[in-house]
Amino acid sequence: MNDNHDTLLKQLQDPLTKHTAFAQLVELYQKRLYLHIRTIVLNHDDTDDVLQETFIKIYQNIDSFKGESQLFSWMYRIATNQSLDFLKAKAKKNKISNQEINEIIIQDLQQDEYFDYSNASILLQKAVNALPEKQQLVFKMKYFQDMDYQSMSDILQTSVGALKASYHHAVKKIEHFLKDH
Amino acid sequence: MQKDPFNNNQPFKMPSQEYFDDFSKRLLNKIEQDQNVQKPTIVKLKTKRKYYYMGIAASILLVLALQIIQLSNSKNAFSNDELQDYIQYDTHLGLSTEFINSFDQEDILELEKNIRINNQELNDYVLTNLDLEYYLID
Repeated sequence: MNDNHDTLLKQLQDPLTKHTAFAQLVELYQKRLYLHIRTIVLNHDDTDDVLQETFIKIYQNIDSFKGESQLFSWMYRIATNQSLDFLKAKAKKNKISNQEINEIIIQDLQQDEYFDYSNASILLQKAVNALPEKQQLVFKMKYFQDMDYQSMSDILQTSVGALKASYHHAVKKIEHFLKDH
Repeated sequence: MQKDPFNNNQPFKMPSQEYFDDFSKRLLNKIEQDQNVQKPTIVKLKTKRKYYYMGIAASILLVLALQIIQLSNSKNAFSNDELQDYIQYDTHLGLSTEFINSFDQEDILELEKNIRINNQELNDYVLTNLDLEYYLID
């Protein structure tokens, strides 16, 4: 798989093969990145926008990718930053906080055909939304996407120990939230 | 990241394959369009930028040159008072006693011959410029 990635990366960085290799990259990773972005921005239409922006950024910056981290981690990092920036811009545009904008989106999830709707799932989304931004990210990547700590460490550029502590705090806070509601 | 990230805790469902096929098409079209639009613009911006930097460099040189000229002019320019003081107190230029004593009668006659004095002009100068009262009192 790593050899395949190396070959793909070389093709992506070669102007002659870049476009074809990029189409292959999109095919390989669009579903995973879709779910990652979706767990952060919550809304399908917003996810579509952010996913497109993420791939455009990947296409524009692939030439400067030095291979210091795995290609997948690098792409995830771009997707995460794009998602967080999108939420901040949306909240700013509506002159409300990130948390408030997420509350509105969570209310709309009832009508979302791609959301596994139940009272419990909505309550869990509300509990996650009450967490600080970093803990939200860690919880979403670990709990919803079942990502291992090492991959999370590569993407978020935070130590595994700090991520474990962050996830532990997030779980405790969510338990308290669920007891109170 | 080889592990399948999709598990039972994930509340969001994956959209259909049609959605992703459509997404890929839209994305690749957009990238192609952006590239077509950007190509000539990049060349234009670079050219503009080159002239922009050249303009700034020329302006800086012009300002420096003007300042240097102004500085050298101001250094050479003496006021009348400064010039007068310089001549009066500088023994090299002033009429020293030695210099005056070295003048004999012949030299004075030679000097008088060389200086053509217009009497009318001299009278006009004395009447308009000299404070006669000062000399009369003294």
